[in-house]
Amino acid sequence: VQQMQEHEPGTAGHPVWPAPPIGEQPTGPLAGVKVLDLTAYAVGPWAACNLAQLGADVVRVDPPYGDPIRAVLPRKNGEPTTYMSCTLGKRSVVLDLKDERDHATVLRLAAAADVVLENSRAGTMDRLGLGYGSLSATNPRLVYCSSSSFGDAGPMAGMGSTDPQGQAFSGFASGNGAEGGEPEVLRYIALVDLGTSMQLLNAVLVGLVARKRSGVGQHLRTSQMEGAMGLQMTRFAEFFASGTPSGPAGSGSRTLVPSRALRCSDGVWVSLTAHTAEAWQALCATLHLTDVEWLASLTTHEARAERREDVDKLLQDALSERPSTWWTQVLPRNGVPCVRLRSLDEKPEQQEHVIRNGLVRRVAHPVRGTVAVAGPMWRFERTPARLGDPELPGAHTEEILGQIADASAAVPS
Amino acid sequence: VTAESVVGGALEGVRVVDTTQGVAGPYCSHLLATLGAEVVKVEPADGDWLRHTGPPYVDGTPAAAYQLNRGKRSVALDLDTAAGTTVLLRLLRDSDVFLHDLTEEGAAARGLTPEELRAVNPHLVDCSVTAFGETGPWAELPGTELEVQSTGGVWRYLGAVGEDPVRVGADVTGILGGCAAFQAVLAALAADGPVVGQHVSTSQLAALMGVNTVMIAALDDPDTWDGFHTNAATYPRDHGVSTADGQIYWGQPLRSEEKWVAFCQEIGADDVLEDPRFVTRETRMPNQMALRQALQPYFSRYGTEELVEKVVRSDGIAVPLQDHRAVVEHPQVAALGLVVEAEGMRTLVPPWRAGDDSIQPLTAASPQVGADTAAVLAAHGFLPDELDQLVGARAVPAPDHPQQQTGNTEQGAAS
Repeated sequence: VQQMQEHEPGTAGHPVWPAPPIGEQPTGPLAGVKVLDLTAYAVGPWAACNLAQLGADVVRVDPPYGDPIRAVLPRKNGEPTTYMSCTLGKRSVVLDLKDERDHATVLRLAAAADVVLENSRAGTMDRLGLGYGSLSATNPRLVYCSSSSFGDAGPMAGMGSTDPQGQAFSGFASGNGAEGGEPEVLRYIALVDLGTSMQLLNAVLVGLVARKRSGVGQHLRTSQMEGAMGLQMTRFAEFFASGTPSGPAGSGSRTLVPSRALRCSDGVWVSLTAHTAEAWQALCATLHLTDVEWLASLTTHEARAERREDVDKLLQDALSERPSTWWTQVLPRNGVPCVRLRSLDEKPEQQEHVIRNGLVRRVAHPVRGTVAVAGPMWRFERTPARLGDPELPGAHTEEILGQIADASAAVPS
Repeated sequence: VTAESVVGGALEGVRVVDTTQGVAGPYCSHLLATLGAEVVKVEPADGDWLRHTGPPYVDGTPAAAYQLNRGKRSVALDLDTAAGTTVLLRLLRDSDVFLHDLTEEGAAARGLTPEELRAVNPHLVDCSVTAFGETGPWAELPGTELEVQSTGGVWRYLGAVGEDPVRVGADVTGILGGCAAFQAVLAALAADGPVVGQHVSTSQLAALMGVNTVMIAALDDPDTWDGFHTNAATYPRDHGVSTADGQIYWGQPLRSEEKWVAFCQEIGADDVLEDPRFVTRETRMPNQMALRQALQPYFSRYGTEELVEKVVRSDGIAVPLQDHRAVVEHPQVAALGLVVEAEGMRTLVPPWRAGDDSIQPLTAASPQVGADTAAVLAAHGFLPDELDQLVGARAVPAPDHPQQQTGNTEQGAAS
């Protein structure tokens, strides 16, 4: 590490990028963009996975001791599912960022890359001589994007964090829970981590759009804390206006009434919202409530919000008279949002709508069989996104290192 | 635009017309405006439905709508009239991005299909962001944040089996759907060479399924029904652990075995060290729930601040479970400057920072419905008598149309 700090920017040698694999060429809007993925766990890897779906050529560096996310269960046919879902469509080369003997290779790739992604703890990459300062010196067009836990300044810079800790610290958990109950953490679906990954992807695209105009790259940073706070943009707006933290509201909303889960006569819960004046009128008409005098006087949202408990009780009484199958047909037809809460054994990925929109796809691992993952989040009419396949770590090490060695032999140093 | 300010002004000169309502689309155009795009918010005379929510209010506008619309201009236009659609097409002729919430069916009914839009402007990037998607069995279902959360199944990871459902308090599908729309638009603009005019689309549900990819893979017939992902739906509510004066989240064993032992001894939890379930990191891993319960009585003896400090000193990670006030007042949030005061109103800074510090929060006031109708139409070449005709055709509200006062101005004072 000491020697790496003495590394002179500019001595990295010539940029080399391994020729993309022969075969189907990428069609996405980012075709031709070279991404060097130096990330681990999920936030960084999923952002790079999305860049691959958008057509970028992603080379991922896997450490020889394995990305720590590989220890997270479950596995499918022996391969960790989380690792698979976050590394689709990349080529993987095994290199050790902590071993300076591998640095020449990393630096040559970084010199050729359009984008470098990293999500180490704040300060780590600078210490390894792989920070923005070093890499941009030889490659000023580089868009270098970092995602840390708590940012790169302040008393908690350098601290790590997991998804539930991000939820707890950022206020995200404080809005979840039974009404009037204790705040609770959203269990284990890593929504805050992957939400942060969305902001990291946003940052890369911002950097690329800016570079298209200016010709120069930039260092863009986000963090789990900023990602988690960003997810609460509307709740923070309300706190700034009221000065009062809102706390858990069950399935309901403190700023949109009615909007909550209600139980139907068949015991099934549905979600019901009246977000517009038209939806509110249609709801009252469908439920035959237009004659209820106090309800008819609630012509503004503010009036409904003031009587939230009364409104919710009246709606609960009305919905408990018929089964969920009735309400989820009749109410949406009249313009009122109303859907069934899917039961525990009913996977969203089995719904016809989800399948037809390609929101869940099955991808094939070269040796571990197939696995279901989310499909691309976007559709591009002229430059279609494409989901790549999972690979074993290091599947392309030989090919990539071979090409770099050939290039080194060909170019006088 | 100087080289120093180029990231923050990456979209300067890019003209965006946005007909979306609620959170998802407006969050996308909020991010576009943050980077310097000129966003024209086209809304009905009564305004985006989000203007009819709340309290709390800022200057009579619901707080969420206020923050989302800062820095945009508002044009009141009735898109249910033929004249309104004609005006929209004229705005789109001179624009770069059209952000809307039309399904395929809705676009066809209004004469706003991708082909019809390209006939007006071949370079237009036209982006649909809806609740469930622009096509498929659920496309025409009305939906808001709650319905998308319910459909995507996110509710099952809160609350407890057999008890009343709990939603995620934050508008996660709205914000994530807005991010996905932002990505679709930016990717279309970022591609090398001249911008290829095209139709792009996403949805709140697509974004929610996207961030669920780890769970989708984990639940796809795994080798063993093992690990926290697979059983998350049936676990009890997770409140973290209680301290003497609050809650903290402490979710993983400490990194160094000596420091772990020293930490347990320091808080008086010697008997936890003797429990065979907790003797090594390997045995603690599958017994984390039990470990948390075993440590709870010791954690309850200390205040939050003191306990967090002890854990951090032992190389562990612990954070307080904070409400929004505590977050905003935390020294870490202050050190990064994540909350700023703008026009008497606090606001979050954008979720990414550029090395040149050029990405700055929007500080302009939020427009009232239709505040910029006349100015924007004039800038697009509409003559005064054309504007009068549009009022006559009810496509544009009359100048004396009562200003939509959605909230109570007395409560509108910013804190």
